[in-house]
Amino acid sequence: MKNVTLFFIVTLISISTFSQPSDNPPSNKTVIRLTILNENGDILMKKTDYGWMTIATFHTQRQNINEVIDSLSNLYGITIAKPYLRGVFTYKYTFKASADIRQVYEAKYINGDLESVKGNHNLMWLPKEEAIEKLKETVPSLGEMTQQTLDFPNAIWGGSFLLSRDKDDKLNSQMTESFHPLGDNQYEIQSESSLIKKTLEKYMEGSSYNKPEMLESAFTENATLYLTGKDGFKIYTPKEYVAFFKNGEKGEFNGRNAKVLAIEVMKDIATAKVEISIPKREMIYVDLFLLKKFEDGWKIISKTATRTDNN
Amino acid sequence: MKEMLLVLLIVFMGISVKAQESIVTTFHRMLVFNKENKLLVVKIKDKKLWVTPGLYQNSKQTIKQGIDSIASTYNIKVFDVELRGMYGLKNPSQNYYSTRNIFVMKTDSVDVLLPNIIGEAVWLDVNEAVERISIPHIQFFINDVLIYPNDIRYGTVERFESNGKLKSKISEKFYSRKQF
Repeated sequence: MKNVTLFFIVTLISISTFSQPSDNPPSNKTVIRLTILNENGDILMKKTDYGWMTIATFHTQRQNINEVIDSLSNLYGITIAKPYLRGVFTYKYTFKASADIRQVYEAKYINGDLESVKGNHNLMWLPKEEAIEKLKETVPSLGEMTQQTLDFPNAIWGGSFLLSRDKDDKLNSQMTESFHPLGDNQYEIQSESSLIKKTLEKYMEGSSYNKPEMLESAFTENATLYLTGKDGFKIYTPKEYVAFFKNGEKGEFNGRNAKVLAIEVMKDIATAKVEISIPKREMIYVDLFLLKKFEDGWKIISKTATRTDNN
Repeated sequence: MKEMLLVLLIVFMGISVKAQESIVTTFHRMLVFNKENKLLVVKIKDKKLWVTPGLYQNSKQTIKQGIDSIASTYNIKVFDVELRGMYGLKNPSQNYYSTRNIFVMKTDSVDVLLPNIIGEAVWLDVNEAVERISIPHIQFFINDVLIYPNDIRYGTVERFESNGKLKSKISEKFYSRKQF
């Protein structure tokens, strides 16, 4: 019996020694995420304990990317076309000391019946807008990465998020490095315009659908808004401007139609022109904006407006 | 004694499983070109090892922060950072896989400081630089990304030692994963 014990102890010590890390340092984790689209452009979604997600796996095995992606699609019983890389993002956390990688790939669905996946009834195809809304509900970064890579597929995107947990343990995220193309610099000028358009969309959707948080997020805190109000032409803060929309039903269209007329980019600053029409009141306004690129994206630093209809 | 053996057996099995776990890492390799289109190649101090700068993704830094911080250790600023390759690197004798991201970037800086672990740094024409680099898989990756400048390249290399020399072979042919 003594010999058996000795054998175990010697073996145990030798295994412990061999399992020490070699010259390979510990690494932060990588998640391989797949946006799979069917012929209607619907996205394959999976319901998890955290909420709705696109399908994904941690890269923890000695497998190359092809093998990881193949095993992932096989797991759900489907065949997909060649996946293309759309983005490489970094996640940092308020609750752990690491910076993980998210590789986002996009692939077209070829065949395979989701119903055939035994015991898996939480998979479904959802239209793009609905899918992105659900992803944002799970964690905003997930929806934002998916939306960015789907809306602008001609570049490979980078960007970073800080993830936190609220008091109910729900995941939240804040963009800490705005989306930027990781390569193909000719695309950069176009992409800056697209990023500015996204900021303007927050202004347009926030003001047309009475969404105060979204509207305020388009501006820097100290932005200056030169507007003509009851008291004449004066300077407003973003908070004062957002308050104009406080009486409207949140999320309900208030009759303001908005469209971007022009964007001009000069490195990290830009100008933009947006038309606001309110058919019910036969009013047309033109908004002029100054924007500046910050670490967390483009923000409106100033705005003025004038009425352009003939009334 | 029986209980003791049982405990040892459980610990033994636990460690065995742990020992079989894969090590998966991510490394960002930086190909820094100066105004004259020369590539920065550096020699590891006290070793006959020439490489390009780079870093493991193992700290609380984003990719951009990591690249900027390594550049700052050489007292250079980099811009136009492009991801050009995401290769795999395997060791046949180990349960090891590493994603090797290749970033091409530019700098206007002329003078280079040497970080503690670096013995020498030189700017070389690409061909000369590739020849100087002493690790075969790095040579493979650089040659491949420079042949396909508007692409994002993938593929896998296995590295091994033969007669005391570091060697590499391509185990998954290099290919594109960018949609044109």
